[in-house]
Amino acid sequence: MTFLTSIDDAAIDDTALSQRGRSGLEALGALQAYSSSQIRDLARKSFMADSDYCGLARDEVPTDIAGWRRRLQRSRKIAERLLPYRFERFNQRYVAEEVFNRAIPAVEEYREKFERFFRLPDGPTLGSLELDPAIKFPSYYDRVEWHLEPGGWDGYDLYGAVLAFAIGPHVFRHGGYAAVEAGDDILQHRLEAVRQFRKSSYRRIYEPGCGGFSTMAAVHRVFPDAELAASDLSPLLLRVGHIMAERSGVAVHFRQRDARDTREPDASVDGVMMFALMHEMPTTVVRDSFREAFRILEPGGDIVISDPPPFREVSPFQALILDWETRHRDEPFFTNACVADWGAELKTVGFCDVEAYNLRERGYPWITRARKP
Amino acid sequence: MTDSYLAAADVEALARMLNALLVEHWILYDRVAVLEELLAQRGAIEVGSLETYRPSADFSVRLEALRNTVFANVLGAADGGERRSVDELRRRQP
Repeated sequence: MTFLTSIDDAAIDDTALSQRGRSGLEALGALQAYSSSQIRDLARKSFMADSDYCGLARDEVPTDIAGWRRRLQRSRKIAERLLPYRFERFNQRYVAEEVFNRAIPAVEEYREKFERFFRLPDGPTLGSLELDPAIKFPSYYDRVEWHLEPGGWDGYDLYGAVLAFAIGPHVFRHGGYAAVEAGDDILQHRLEAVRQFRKSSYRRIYEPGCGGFSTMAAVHRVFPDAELAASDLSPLLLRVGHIMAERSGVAVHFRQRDARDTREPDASVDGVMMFALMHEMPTTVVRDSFREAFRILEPGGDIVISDPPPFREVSPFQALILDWETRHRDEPFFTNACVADWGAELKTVGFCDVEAYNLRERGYPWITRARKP
Repeated sequence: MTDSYLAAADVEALARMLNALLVEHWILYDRVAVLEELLAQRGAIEVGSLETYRPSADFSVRLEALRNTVFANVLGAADGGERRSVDELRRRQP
């Protein structure tokens, strides 16, 4: 998804919502900001003060999914006894649903304006968009309403406006959802993640599963001379990404591709960026996507991955917060991603110089980076 | 009302309603603030004049009655099913 956490002054008139639309979303932002900081902090403290917590914290860290399920179940038993935890999780779910319930009508109120905004400006384009009407959507992808988005990624033609001008600047800008801590800005995370590339310049950077323009915008800021190519399965996300890139004056070549089959030539890029992608795919698909990244990278090329942190690297309470996403935000692969070891997977594919580390105290953004020998 | 009609699980629905009420409440707050700003920009009121406004005795009485009605409606809702004799209802504000 291409979303903004602030709106450029120049675009305000073209993208403003009604007073009711704007303030309703701002209220949800305030609810989430308070709940995910004040109430969650209280829940965390109560969790750690519980008499059963010491045993949990002393136990050996599991190494497989079954072990993690047992440990998370024990954590859940402690947490669900606590009112602040139950209340904070309720608010988290409420806001997750309600942002779409409010943002869609708020955008619909100005349908004509947003349809106009999401048309390509006249004249030649800097980048390109190549859709593939014959592409096969994998079974794991179909029919999932990712993030509780009604109809899934392509379920509403104005999701571009919903994310960029309604939910992003009025709710997400406060952070406090999924792995993103309260007060954090996911666009800043993207910038910090891109800065984990080891070299000072790159010739051509590719982003599979781009979801739009947001990450490529950050890549362009850090590496303004690099040629940019990005792909995704969703035609709507690609269209919106293309238009936002053109409006920003950045050349990005968007293609509708499966991350496992980019159709890029061997050794044709020197950088691959994956941001918040792994937790949206089954582990086997991630492995195949790593193989594909390895194939298209030239020797000496770098891969940088940013995704939610592994359970083993965060506190039992934080692991519970992350695990909650799987069942409650339509994120079927979130828990599996938090159990996986992406560094080990990259080594198996052939990458070297693998490093994995966090950029923030509670583990997110979690970076894994490596090089093709 | 002697029977209970809501189950423990209905607290979820009530909490959703409470959050929705909070959002609606903010929308109204925001609208009043926008109105004040627009009126000030157009010179209809002076900035800060709402803060320093002192209600007249007559207006104070009307404001108090309005306030009491709103408070009674919200606070009284908790046991609204119990207090509904004709006498009680006759004393209630519409």
